[in-house]
Amino acid sequence: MKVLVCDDHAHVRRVLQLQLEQAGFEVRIASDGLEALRLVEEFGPQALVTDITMPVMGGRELCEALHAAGKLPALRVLVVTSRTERVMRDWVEALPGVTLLEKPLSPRQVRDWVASCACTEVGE
Amino acid sequence: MSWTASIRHRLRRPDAGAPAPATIPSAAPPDARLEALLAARQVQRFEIARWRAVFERGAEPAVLLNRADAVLAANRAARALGAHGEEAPVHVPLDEWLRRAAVPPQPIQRREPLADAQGLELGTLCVFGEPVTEGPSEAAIGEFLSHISHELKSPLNTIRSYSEMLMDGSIDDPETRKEFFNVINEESCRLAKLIENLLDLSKLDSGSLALQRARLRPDALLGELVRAAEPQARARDIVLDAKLAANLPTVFADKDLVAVAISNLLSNAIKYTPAGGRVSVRARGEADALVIEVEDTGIGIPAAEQAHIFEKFYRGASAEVRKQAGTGLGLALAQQIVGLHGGQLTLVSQPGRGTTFRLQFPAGAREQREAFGLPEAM
Repeated sequence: MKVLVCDDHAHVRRVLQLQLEQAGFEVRIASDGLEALRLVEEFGPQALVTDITMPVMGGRELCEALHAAGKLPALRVLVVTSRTERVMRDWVEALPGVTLLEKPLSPRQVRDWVASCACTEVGE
Repeated sequence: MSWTASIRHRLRRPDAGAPAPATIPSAAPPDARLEALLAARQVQRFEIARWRAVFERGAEPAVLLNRADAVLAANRAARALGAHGEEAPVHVPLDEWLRRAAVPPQPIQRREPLADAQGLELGTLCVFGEPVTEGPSEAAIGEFLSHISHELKSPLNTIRSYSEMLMDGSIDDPETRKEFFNVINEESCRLAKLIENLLDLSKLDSGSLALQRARLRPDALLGELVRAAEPQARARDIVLDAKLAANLPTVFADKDLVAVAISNLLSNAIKYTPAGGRVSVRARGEADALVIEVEDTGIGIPAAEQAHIFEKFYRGASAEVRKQAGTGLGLALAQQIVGLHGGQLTLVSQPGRGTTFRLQFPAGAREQREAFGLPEAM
């Protein structure tokens, strides 16, 4: 299964890539929404894990662009966010196939979410 | 009883609410009569001072008017409306007094006629509504808190995720384990620095951080700060040098805060300069000023970002900036500190070539010391 990780913090990219690769997934990384959009086309992931606040293009714009391009919910998206950003939640819930995960980040939870996506994929 | 009502009440009945002036028995010996008179006078003075204080310190702007509606006195809140500064003129008609106010007062809330003990009308106490103080809006506070929590959660996020992987035994390679421990350590330091900067900034914002000014020798401080930054520069393969002019002017400044400002600039210069580059600290005296420059051969700051560089939490958008740990508070703090000293912090930058930050502090320690009436120190 192919997973794309998008975050502007190198530490987050590093830890998620390591965790997901150890779990046997094929991982590519992007540092902003625009790069992620390009990699969705090139790499063709089944799951995307993204941050919200990023330079160039943020997570919200990324998700909305993917939705507009008809990529959702076939591409499952996990948006990682801070609990305080309540306003952010509304738009996340309005999009199909998009799930929220609260910070501080737990790589284990991200791995389990990706694994659950893999299961649903097999079931379909 | 409101304070206006109590003033009115007090004027009608001079003995109310106060120790009664001693009655002076006419049969008393002259010495005793004089003593009693002095005591009564003392009580009266005390009373006047007390009611003046009540009038003066009221939160609402208030003026005393004579029978012709001319202003006899204005309290502190009324003077703060900017009509006449501390030297409020007397016998100006109220209408004109209001026209001259820089800040239009709230509508008149109460007019209390004032009369003396015999019921003779003296004038009017005129009280305006309490001025609306413009603090930050709820929305601005909410936005700021959300921003702070986001900034605090970022290093916390890294600490949690890296430690979780170590705890789960997911990392077998000893080199990777070492890397993970290093990241946790660095991010804990960043979190501590962030909290420290945030506290300093909030103290500066609220004005509760009083400057501890003393005579400051810039060469000694700069030497100290350059030495402290050397390990960071060496680790990043950057040459750090200092060129200090002889006979630098002494400034009258808060050493700890100035050190925070300069070390923030130094640490930024080192952080945003690629390996093999150079960071130079220069200091010289200019007409009535001490000028300190921190120059680097780093990545530079695009013109569009220069306008925002001193804003709290602002960080450059480029990948080169983002890959460095930063709080986005260092420059905001430095600028506030320099500003508090009556100085200026400016920059000249060319992307790809480097940046020079220029600090300018008013110099001439003797003049400053005299101006502040402060003792010599250091």
